[in-house]
Amino acid sequence: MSKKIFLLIDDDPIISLVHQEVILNTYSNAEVIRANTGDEALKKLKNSPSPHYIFLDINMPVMNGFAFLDKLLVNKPEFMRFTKVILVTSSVNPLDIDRSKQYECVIDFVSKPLTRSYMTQLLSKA
Amino acid sequence: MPHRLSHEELLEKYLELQLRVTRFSAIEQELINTRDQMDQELEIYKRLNYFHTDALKLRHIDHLVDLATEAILDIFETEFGYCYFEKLDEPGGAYLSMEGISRRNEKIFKESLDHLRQSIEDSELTLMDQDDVKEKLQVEYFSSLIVSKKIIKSHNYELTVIAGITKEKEYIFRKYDQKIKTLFSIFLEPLEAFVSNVISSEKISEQLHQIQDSERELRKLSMIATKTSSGVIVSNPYGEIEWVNQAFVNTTGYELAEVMGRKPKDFLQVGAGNDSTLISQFSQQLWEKKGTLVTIKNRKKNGDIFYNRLEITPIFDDNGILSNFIAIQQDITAEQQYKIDLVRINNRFEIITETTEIGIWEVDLESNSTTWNSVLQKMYNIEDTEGLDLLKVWVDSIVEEDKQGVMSVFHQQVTTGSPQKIQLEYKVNIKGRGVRNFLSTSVIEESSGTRKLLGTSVDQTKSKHDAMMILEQNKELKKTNQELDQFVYSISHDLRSPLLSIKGILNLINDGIWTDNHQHYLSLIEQSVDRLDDTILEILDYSRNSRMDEKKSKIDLKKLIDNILQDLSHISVGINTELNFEGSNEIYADELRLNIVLKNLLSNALKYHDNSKEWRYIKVLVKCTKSTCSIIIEDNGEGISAENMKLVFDMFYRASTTSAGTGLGLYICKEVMNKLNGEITMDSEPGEGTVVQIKFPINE
Repeated sequence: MSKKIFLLIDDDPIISLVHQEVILNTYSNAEVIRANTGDEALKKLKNSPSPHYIFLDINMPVMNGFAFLDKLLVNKPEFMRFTKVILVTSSVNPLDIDRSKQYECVIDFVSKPLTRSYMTQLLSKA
Repeated sequence: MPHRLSHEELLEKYLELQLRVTRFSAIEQELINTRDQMDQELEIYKRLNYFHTDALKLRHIDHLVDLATEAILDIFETEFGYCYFEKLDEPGGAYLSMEGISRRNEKIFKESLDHLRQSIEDSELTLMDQDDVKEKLQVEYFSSLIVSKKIIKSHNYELTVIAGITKEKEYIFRKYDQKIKTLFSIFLEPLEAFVSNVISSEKISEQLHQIQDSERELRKLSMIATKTSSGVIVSNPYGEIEWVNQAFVNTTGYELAEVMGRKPKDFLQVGAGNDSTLISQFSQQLWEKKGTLVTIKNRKKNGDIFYNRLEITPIFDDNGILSNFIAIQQDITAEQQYKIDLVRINNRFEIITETTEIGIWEVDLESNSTTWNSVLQKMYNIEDTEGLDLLKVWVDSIVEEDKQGVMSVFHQQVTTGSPQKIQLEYKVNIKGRGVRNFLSTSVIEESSGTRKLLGTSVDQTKSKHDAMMILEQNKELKKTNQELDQFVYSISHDLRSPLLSIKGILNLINDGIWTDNHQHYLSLIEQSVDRLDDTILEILDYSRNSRMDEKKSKIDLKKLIDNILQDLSHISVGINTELNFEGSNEIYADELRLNIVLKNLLSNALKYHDNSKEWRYIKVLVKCTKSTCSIIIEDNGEGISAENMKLVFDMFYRASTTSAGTGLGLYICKEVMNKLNGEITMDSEPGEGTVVQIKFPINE
């Protein structure tokens, strides 16, 4: 089981903690990085290899999920070649789904909270 | 024994004999004279006879008069003749003939003879000698005249005959004596008869002509009556039908045989529903034998009602006695219907133009005379158009920048006579109403030889304005709709987020991933529940502000702020709070709304404190005057960047990443201040702190 890096970005630290637990419990050889804001995530990415998966909350203060993606694609386009982004949200807005289609790296759009069954399914495809 | 006559005896006998001879020759001469005279008279009679024979053949008065004049000279061997004829009941019916007068004397003789004719009365034959003439006419050139002037009453004409001898020629002509009078009267009597005859026969032939003419006329008329599309009824003086034409049959459905001898009113008017006054007037006219023109309703044989325009003419014979009525009737039902329709359409049109405010105008292209409807007059603020050149009023009203363009378009339409409708938008400046946007539509109409430019003008200033307003409102509505959508998603997000966190924790416990440290799980759940509660409270605040009317009461601001700070004591640990007043702390205001705003602002000041600072504070200063109240809240917290400051009052905008706000607080504050007619301002320096000020009017 190869090591996989997961980046979780969410302004709610509680849900972030919950997601980390779910990932660790589904994939034992996982490294989970958590960030409360987009800025924090960008800082953390500077000094680390590119993650396999980014779980990105859309609705965040100051820099929302899409703003983060735009910044990331501009700053580090090479990062996105292998990284898969899963947008995570607490309520599904059709406008957000439409917008997410612009990003090739975005592979899914899911409702909180992440579950073990979803994670299992996701990782089995890879 | 023969007696021997003595000389004396012999002489006596001779003288006696001579006397006898003389006497005898005188008798003989007398006899000769008498015979000559007889011959002459016979000759005259002969000539008279010729004249009569000739005269009888003549059919015209002027020929007869000419012949008579010649005859005077021929028969009576006078020098000249003058014959004047005049029909007294016919102006211009006079005829004069003269013979034997030299051209040189013609004019002067005519004048004198006319004068003589006029000066004498209807009279017996008169002989005038030189002295008589001189006395009567003051002229000397006539030697003698014989004059006759007759007025023939039975045929109503004057016939004057004059024969005469001039002084110049009296040696040639025999002087008139009493005998010529007799002869002349023998001449005149039949002449009069002849003239009367000719007049009678002329009259007869004239009447014959008239009869022929009227026969032709009658034939024509009857043809017209038969062929015409108008119904024709001929009735006797009692109104009973004697004849109707085919058109009548076609219109009414009644055959001639059916209506013969009946009165039209007895079958055409029954049940037709006419106004009784109209009918009685109409009957009265006929009763008085007057012609009349009337439109009444009639009933056809099949029961259909039709509008009948009747023109009735009474016909009188030569003695003035009513012989017939002739009625010309026309079925004008369609026409009447058109009229009614036209009036109805016109009325409706008037109402439409008035309610839709369409100005209508008409320019006669020959005279340029212009008419406007009342709507257009109102649009131009004109009460009375009498004496106004409306075309000029219109041209003058067009604003300078549009004038040339508008005029050239209309000019082209008129000169090319294009049947196309033309529509133009332009501005007019109307006294008392200012500049208005007009939309005019025009079209050329040609009818019965006159060309007109017809058009409408609509003041679309308001509708243009309205359209702009609607566009604006639409835009706003769209924006509001989008905001509402956004609101729903944001609210659901904010409500669901803490719930989903709790669900995630529960999943972990359920799945047996989290087994120990229950205290920790419960505290995580509690945090989420608090967040959820905060959100719900804020939504409530928002909805209260937008739904509830302003409700003022006396408020002690010191008490209000102290209470809020008391409620927030759990987040104010280690932060110094200071409350100051300038002026009264009691105001009259909406407590609920002030509470919402102050709670939000104070909680923000406390929440976003700067942990790096040792001395952390918030200072509240309340400044109330009679008319306004302002509350300034100052902190030395983390501050807000200028970029974010623009957005903090937007709905759901969260500027801070350090604490979990809903993004509604400041939005609600702004909305509340709007409701209170107040304002909210913010000044901040990142790392230094923030000053927020609210200011609102108070009265009382």
